[in-house]
Amino acid sequence: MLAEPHPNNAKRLDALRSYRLLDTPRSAEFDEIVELVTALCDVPISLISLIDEDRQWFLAEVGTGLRSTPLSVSVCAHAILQDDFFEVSDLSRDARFSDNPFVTDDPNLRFYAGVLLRSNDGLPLGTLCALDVTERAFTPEQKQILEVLARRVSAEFELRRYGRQLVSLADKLDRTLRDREAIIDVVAHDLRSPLSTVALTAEMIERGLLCDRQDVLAERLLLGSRRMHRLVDDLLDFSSMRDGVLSNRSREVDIGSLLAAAVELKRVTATAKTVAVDLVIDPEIGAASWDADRITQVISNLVGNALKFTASGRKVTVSAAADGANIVIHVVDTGEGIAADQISTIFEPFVQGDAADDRGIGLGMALVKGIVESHAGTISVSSVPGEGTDVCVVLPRRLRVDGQGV
Amino acid sequence: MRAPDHPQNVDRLAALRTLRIIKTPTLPSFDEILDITTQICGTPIAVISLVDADRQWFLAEKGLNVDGVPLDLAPCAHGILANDFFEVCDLTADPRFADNPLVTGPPGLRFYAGAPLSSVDGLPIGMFSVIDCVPRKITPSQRRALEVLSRCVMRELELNRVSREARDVAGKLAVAVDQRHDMLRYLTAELRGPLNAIGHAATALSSAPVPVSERGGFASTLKHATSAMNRLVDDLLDLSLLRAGRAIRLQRSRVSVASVIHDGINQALAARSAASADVSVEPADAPGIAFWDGHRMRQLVDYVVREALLASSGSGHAVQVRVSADANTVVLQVFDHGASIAQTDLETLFEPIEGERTARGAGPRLAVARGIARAHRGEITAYSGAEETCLTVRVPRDLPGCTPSA
Repeated sequence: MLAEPHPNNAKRLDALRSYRLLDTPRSAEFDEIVELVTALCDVPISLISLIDEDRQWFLAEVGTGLRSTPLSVSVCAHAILQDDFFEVSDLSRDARFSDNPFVTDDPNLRFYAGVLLRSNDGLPLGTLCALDVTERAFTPEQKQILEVLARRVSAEFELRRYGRQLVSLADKLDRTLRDREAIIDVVAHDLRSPLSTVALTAEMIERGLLCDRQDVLAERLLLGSRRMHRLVDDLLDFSSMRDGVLSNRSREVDIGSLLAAAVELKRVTATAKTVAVDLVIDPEIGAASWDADRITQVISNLVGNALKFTASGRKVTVSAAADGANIVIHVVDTGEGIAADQISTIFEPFVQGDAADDRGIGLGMALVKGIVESHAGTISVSSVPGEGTDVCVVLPRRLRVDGQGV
Repeated sequence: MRAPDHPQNVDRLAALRTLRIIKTPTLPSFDEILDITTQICGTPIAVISLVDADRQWFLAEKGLNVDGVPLDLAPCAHGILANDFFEVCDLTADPRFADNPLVTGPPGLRFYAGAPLSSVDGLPIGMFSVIDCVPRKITPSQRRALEVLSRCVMRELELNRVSREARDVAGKLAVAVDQRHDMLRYLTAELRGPLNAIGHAATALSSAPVPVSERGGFASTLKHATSAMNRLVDDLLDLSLLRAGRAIRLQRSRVSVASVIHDGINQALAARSAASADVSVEPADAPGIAFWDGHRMRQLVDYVVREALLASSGSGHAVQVRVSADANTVVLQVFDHGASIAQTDLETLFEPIEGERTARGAGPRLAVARGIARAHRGEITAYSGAEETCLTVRVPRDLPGCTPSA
């Protein structure tokens, strides 16, 4: 008989996945515990069974030669609905298991004893269990051995999780400390050029130059101050991105209109440079659950870059199509291309490209990458020097609860 | 007989230290592991021992009721030399233990078997062992259980270390993120004012013709804004240099100490806001001359006085500057009556743009000032009491033929 799902099954499954144990290779730490169970409790079969959505998966096993079975034949799926220790002396005389093919047929299981393996917040993930083909009962000592070893298994789960956490925390700490140095550099360097634009304009006003062309002076001032404002905005975005708070405003958006609007933001630049921007969108593309402002920022940033590198009279193409659960967006320019050794560093914040570049070291591409990743997407660049660059963004249409793409 | 030191004793003890476990309270999980171990092996005694430099500690024990023994008496010190499972069926028949008071006298130990507790690098930091007062022999499955459980003990210690370390790093990360946030807040606050001034000027110029008579006003607004931002950029560049461990470069010449201080204070006064306090100066009798970078030292005086002015704004008290000098050294003391600084914050006062400070040291200025002092082989120190806070700058004159005083 198929067990009822756990009353808190969605959360339970999230917890199980957060431990990242499913479908991992065998490991000695778990194998030697199930071997110990068979030796000390004198049973032919012992399992560390994790109850997934539609299967039980054996992290370690002795005596079955299996790594998973459907839930319909799982005793452990019942065990996770019980108290910490669950024992059935004769499975064939229990209505829940009497029709189980592993009981009625080979290997003719009779006895089950299992101890729950719980997540750190108490949700049952599976069991450490012992099975036999004859009817029997565990002695108090055998029960205690199974319980103590089950806690060793849980401790190993926690150790692995903490180990991963430590690595990612240490990495974040390292990045945050480096950011502090880099922020100082980026501000100092990126302010210089717009500042000198403004200072020169002030000089011109003072000396009465171009006094009949006030619009030109104003334009120059605006240019300088806009660039400085953008630096300030990018700094703030960058900091919130690093704190992981960028992407929680996802809502249903029409992909076609979002892309069209993002490209439209760069229309003036494109027209001024006489570069055509073609938009090729699959009419069936539909909707996605994204943070519309952020994805707009990504696309307009990429189109802006593409325009910069494309000569007058040539074109930039933005295309989008569905690929399974993902949306694949390409921004292709016909510009000078990027050298292979620079492709890997263009998303690094504060990595200074060509020093001659007066656009500064900037945060734009680091932000683009951060936004794409906060949507569980990927971004990649391929380029043929002299022919152009293709930036490919793959975004899941929707996010799963655990932050991964569906 | 006392056991010789392990051949890799230094590394072994270092591995023990990294786990930071000696004299920590027993974990309940160790007690239950010992419970099943005595059951499995049928011995009255089981111990988890750590072999330290001069003592063997019991991390947990069952059946002994002591928390450790000197190394001379410790069977485990012999055990770790085996680097493998270690068993002595009858201690009285082994010359290493025959004269051991724990064997010859109470409690009359006879049997010892244990598996090493091995660090991740394979160094034995202690033993997981069973002990009896009658001679006996371990079975293969008992031996296997001791070996597996000894690894479980190590994994538990590792879990303890990793979870503690993860907490530490998480704490450091939170501080670093706050500091990065403070830095960005400082920078954006510093940039916004001048940026807005530039933006307003640009808007005014683009919306209506500005008569020639008003051009001067525009120019000076813009120059004021750009020079404020330029100073920030310069300070950030200095800061970046200092944080990279490099010194500020000086262009020394013979300068009048009195005029350096006088000009520096005037710079600070020129930059102060309307609400800030006054400065009263007690000049030295004979300030004389020094071989300094006059521009940089003026900047130093400016920045130190400016911090004091900021701190005491609204306090109703003037900032006092006291100058004293001897043949070799000039000492400048700047007193303010603003909020006092906690001892812990004094240490980070010169760490730029970080920490929780609101009024004091919330920018690169004090760091740059200290960098200037140090480039002159001088120093800035801070003292803060209930009544007043004092920044003391001590810089040698560095005139040829003079040596700085202590």
